[in-house]
Amino acid sequence: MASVRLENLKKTYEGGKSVVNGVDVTIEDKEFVVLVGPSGCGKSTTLRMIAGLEDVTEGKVFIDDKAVNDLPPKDRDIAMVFQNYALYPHMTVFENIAFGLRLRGFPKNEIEKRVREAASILGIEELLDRKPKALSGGQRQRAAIGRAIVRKPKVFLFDEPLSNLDAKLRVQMRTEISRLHQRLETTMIYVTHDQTEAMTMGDKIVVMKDGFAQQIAEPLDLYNHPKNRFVAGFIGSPAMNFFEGTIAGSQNLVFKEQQGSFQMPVPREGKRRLKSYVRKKVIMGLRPEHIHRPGSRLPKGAKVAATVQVVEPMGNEIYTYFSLGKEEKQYTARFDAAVMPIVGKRLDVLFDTSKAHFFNTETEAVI
Amino acid sequence: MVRNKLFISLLVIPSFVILAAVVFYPFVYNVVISFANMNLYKIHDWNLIGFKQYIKIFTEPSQPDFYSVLFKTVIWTFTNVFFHVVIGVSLALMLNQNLKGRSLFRTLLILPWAIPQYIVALTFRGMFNYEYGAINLMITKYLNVPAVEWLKDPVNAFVACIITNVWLGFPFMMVIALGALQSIPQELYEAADMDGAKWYHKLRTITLPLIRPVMIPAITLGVIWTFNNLNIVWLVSNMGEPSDTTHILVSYVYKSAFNYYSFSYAAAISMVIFVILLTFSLMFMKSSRATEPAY
Repeated sequence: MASVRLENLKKTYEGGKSVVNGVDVTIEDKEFVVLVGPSGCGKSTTLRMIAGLEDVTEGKVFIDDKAVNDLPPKDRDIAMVFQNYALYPHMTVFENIAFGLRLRGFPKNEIEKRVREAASILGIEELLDRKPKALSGGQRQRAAIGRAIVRKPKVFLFDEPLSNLDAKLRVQMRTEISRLHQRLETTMIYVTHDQTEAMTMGDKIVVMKDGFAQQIAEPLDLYNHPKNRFVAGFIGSPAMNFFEGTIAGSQNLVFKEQQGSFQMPVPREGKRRLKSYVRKKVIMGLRPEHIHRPGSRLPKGAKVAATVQVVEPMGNEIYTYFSLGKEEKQYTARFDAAVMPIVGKRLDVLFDTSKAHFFNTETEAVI
Repeated sequence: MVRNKLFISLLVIPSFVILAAVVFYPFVYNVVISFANMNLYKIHDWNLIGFKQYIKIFTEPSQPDFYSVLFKTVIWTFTNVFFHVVIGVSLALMLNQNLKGRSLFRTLLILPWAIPQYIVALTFRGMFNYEYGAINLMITKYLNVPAVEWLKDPVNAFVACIITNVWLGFPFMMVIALGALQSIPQELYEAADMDGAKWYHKLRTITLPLIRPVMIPAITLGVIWTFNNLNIVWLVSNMGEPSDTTHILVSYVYKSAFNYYSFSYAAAISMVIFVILLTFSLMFMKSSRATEPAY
């Protein structure tokens, strides 16, 4: 069991391309931490630096308070599960799982015992004699995880392990990995671009963009209290709606949408912070679930005239895409599935103003 | 449907005719004359004489002796292919690293393959010259070793042929191995690094098994080409000199047919070569499971 600490971690490739620009994260023992962000944000490079597969340009990686920058991957006592499984195609599942143990000179009966144990945890006992090409995507991923857990390492690293699986299998494997974490009680660092995976699996999430950790927090904290517009927009599906506008008023502050499509009172808890933004531009963020059908009972709602553009019935709810006034920009609302909005028709929606987030237009930081 | 079949036939017929003219007919003709007595005196009025030519090959003493030529052919083939593969794969492994000037090295190393064989053979023949050849000049000057009679001594002349053919043949194996190496996913090596594999573990357990499906057909081709390589032995040793001691089977066939005009005898040896290579190829491909994909 181990903690992992990254101190001002930087990676610059030959030619001066910077991909990680100073990441500071502490991952506690037995914690499941997810690095999430869009392509090119530096999350995989960060993971590979922890693994020792990439040299660190600047900063330090500590495992159990020991700096491991100069240690080769094999001496860091970590195991990694790769996106494309990285199973040796000419070896059976058994040989794949046993490979690391054989290299480390484990006795034959110990190898047999450990491989069978790992296979039983992952439910792949009957597949041990097969080669990877005879396995489905999910079975391959299980075999790859088997290869990682059989060594009983201090830290597990997962590099987008579910990206190659279909949607249904991805959900299944997601819960299996979470269950595995509970069972093994080991530190796990998981990289994904999928915010749903991050939200559902992580004890703690590190949201990354442009080589920086934008915010490090627990999933719900991240969702409810995003630090900036990027995090607010990245976490949550469908994504948060953003409206540009200005703050007006003196005592009772009001947010006025810049095209004049609507205005709404600023919630009481935001007034103090927004006072200095009077007559200044801000961005207001509102999640799709905080936009309601007309007639909903809201203590602090703002009625807004919208035109329905597209509807996506999901079964239990309906994603409704609408525009405001003559704007072409589309916004999203999540309505319950009771009544289907009619495309092209006007719909008065209610914005739950108490749930609004405000961001500085220049820094994009939350106000 | 009928028109469609006719159209397909029309498309296939030209290639079939060409194949029949350049492959099937010569092959069948060769089989027929191997059972005949065609030679300089009986070019037109030859007769079928059954297995007599085959019996002659295997039982009657000849100059050079068939079995010693066959043995030399095996040595020639094995030694050449061995060095082609070892040098080719080693260079491919080096070129597969992040070397500076990699593309320059790659181009330079492919050069031997791009030069016509007869130019290489004649150049090497010149280089092996006792008095003025570059090789003797170098070994006497830099290694302080007496000059070697490369082309007058049977063993040395055969070694000279092998050196020439090794130089000519390694780029093919190098290019094939390089292609195979580049298709191995980098993640496999990274997974092995995490597992604590050293470079020789990775070579033995990842690289070699994964380039095998590509290398086995290349080696099979290499064996067939080398076994049948007339140019080098013929040109470097100057038609099997000294005294027909450097022959391999194909140069022996060529000399029998076009210097001694024993056409049927040469055709029968050709059939022996065909059977040897066919048997080898089938057995080698089957035993090495070359047709099974790795991924």
